[in-house]
Amino acid sequence: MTSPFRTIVIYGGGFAAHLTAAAFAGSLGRAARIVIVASNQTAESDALYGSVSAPTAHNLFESVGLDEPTLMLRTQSAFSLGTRFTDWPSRSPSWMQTYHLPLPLISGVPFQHFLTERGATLEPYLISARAAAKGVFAHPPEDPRHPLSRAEYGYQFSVAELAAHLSQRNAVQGIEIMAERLREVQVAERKISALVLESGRELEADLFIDCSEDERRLASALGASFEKVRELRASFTQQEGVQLGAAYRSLAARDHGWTSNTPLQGRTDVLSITHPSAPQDTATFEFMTGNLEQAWVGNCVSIGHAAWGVEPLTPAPMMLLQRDIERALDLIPVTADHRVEAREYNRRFKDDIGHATAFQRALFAVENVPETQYWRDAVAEPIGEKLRRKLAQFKSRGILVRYDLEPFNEEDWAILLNGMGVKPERYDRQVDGIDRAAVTQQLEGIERAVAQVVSKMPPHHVYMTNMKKYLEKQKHG
Amino acid sequence: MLRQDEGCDVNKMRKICILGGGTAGWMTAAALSNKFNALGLDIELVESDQIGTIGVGEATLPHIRFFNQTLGIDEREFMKSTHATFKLGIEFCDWGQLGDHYVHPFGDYGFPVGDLDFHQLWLKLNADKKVPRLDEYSYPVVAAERGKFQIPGPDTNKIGSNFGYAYQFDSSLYAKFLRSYSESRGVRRTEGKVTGATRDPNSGDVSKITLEDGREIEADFYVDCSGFRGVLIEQLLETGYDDWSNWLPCNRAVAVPSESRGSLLPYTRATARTAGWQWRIPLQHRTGNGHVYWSEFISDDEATEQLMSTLEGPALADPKQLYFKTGRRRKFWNQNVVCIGLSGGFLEPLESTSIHLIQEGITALVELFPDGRINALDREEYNDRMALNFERVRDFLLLHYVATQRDDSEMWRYFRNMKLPDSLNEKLEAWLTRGYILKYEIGVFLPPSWIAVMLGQNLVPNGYDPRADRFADTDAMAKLERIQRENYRAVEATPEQHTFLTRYGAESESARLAAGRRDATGT
Repeated sequence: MTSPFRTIVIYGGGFAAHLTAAAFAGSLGRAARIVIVASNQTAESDALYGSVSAPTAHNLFESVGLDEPTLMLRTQSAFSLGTRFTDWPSRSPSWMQTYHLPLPLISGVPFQHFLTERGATLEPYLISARAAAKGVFAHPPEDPRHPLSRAEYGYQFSVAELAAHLSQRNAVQGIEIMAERLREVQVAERKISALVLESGRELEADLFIDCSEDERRLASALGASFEKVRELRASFTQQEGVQLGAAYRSLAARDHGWTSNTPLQGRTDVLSITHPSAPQDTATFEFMTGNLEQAWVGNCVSIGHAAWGVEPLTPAPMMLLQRDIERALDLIPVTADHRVEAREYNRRFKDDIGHATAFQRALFAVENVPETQYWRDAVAEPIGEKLRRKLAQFKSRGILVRYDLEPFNEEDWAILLNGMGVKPERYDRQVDGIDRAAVTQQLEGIERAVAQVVSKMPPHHVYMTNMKKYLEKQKHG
Repeated sequence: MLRQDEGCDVNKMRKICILGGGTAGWMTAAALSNKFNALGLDIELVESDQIGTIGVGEATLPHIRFFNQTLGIDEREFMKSTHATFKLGIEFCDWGQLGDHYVHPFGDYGFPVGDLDFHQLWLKLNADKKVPRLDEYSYPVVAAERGKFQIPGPDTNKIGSNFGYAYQFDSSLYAKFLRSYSESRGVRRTEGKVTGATRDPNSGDVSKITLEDGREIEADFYVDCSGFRGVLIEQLLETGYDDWSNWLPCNRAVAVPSESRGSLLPYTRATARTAGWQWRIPLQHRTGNGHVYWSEFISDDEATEQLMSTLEGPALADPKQLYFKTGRRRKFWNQNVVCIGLSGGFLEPLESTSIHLIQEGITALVELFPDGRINALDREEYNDRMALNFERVRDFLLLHYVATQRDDSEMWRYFRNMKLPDSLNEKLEAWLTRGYILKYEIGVFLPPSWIAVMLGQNLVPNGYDPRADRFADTDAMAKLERIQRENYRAVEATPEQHTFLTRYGAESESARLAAGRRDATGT
């Protein structure tokens, strides 16, 4: 039978380590002792978790005390309706990659087919896209009849700031944080028997978690191998003292890669990704994309960048980090050899990585890219069978093939492919049997309602100021 | 917008021929006429009165309500016309061990507690045998056991509304009901027996079919609903069949209707036998019965004898014999032919999936409906989707045979020694270790179904999710007790199915007579 109390030792001091520790503490409560060996307090690669989260991150954030009032009052975080891509070498060079609830059926026929039939673009019907573009924001109301209720939003944030917040919180929440170097990983029979710290202290655990970013110290000790896909270089800078910008991140393609600007409260974070061979003018660091073949080996699971490297083009890195944590929580081992847990963890890991990277790979399903190493490498990455099927079916007849438990949902895909200017060759024949004038009226109605609501929404920074006033008042009243 | 070079001549696909008029044929005709009526699509269904349909009274899954709703069918009319009863799940008897029984309900157990599945909380307390069975936290189980039913309310946060329901009905009457629906939407029915079919020598497509009296029907696209024979998909196109008999070896059935006895039950029953299993499906006016068996270990006569001797009321007809082979067609869509229903494959009706797989086939066909010369990508997508549907149902059916302690006959010993598909093996191992369910999104049976069968057949996990330990036993117990109380209160307030059905206005004419008979026999 399962023993009720267990020890979990996390190695690493950055964002992934603290987020994992907080999630485990919240989920296990009194059922576990959680220890962080924070040999390295700051990880520069933390910036590669990106600066945006999808709506799906809300639950995780809340469970670790990063609820919305905390994020907005105590950090420089902001709302995020999506990412605006510009100058992209796709057929349509710019679009708002926004979050949205499912699009309406018209007479039982999926929305996409009406766009295809009319050669129309999707964006005018997406209230979140229109609001973002106009720089306005308001919370989606619950009333499903309200057009804004279709919008979804995530957050824009600084990973370093969230990491600092979590580390403070973890320290007072009973998580043992040992700011010590790791001297040795003792391994016996493909399992970690103990971590030996500089002080000579030895730590045993029921489960070890490697959150050491690309150091991968525990995973390497167990012989886990990282399968590299590409080498990239990142530069990360901040512009302080600016007014809060729009509720979206803007990401522009460059000859040697891309640059994104993420508006936060009082600053803008700038992240650029290039090939290491590109000319540089700021401080940079290099990283690899790819992933461990097995993220759970022996009694150790690797979470975050210790398990994978993913270009922070979309919320994919945050999604994967969240999925790593959820997968590990779902499978906190109860078996002595972790065999069942590891097998299932690795199966889900592989699926999640495959699905998330497929979405990002779709961004490079383009022709006529700049003649530089970054773009050559990007388009040379193989397109897997799942993505091939997805792209082929969308191009052929505007349908989106679904797989089990994908991190990016059908709307994300529809917005991406429409945004990039991919035009399905055919539409559903049922469209021809539906009164065209009535459909036109319905479509115009949606577009009008969207425009009307957006015209009344306040600018992001005004909404933020008012909301914070309200929250402060509530707190003290 | 429509590129000619892709062969997408929208004007070409004008005529569809559906071969066979059983449940599959008329469901297809109804859906296609509803969806494509406005396009002037010409739909002709060929069936022969000489060829009987297999329909023997059918139990369904909740998804059928969506099918009917899409067609705009009035639930009461449909129920009256098909003598339908409401269905909350399936009761399985003698599966884990002789004497066992459990209900596989259409709905969840309890409510999740944050990131923790409800059954994990139950498993934690069950380790010390402190709790009643998991069924106590399922409204459809408790309601079914008491013969009660009502339509779920809108608030799914209430335990008495957080469930699904399906129907049990006479499938030949359902076909008839859909026939008049289809004919009123322009579907032409042609009486005749298909005796031949011709392929286009260039494309390989079916170009026409010939009837016994010499008439010919030409269509652009054919839906083969001709049953096990697969007149076009197999006899003509020789598509091939993946035989799954090694996993699901039952290959025959005998079916017979009987007079109803006792109160009108809102569930189907499946009782395990020595060489197969027996179904009992309560309809409003009679009960459908059948014995599915493996001919290797029991003769037809014995199987029939077992069935007849266990009927609850007098038989209303002679027993009817059926032969089948478990498996699926290698391609569900080949050339310009899609096969739907038994022509596409057969999986024993242990979990009422026959009509559901028809529905999946139709849904995929509507979504991927060809608009010109057949596009290879449409076909590829259709075949991939249907293959996955069939495989996932197969694994779930197989679970019933292998999650058992029975070894009292050759058949049960066969399953005991079987090497399982890896996918199923991993599911079982994860469950037994820690009550973990390998989830998928695409496919009909969701985690509660797997939990129902595995626990119902005595596969009690050795461990549970450690997150359950964040609750002290007393807190966990309090949560469970509250849900159980609410469940009982909800069931208490639910009428008996017959009362509800009558009040709802769904009682059929002959059901009134049958109810009278039941009362008269005093059972």
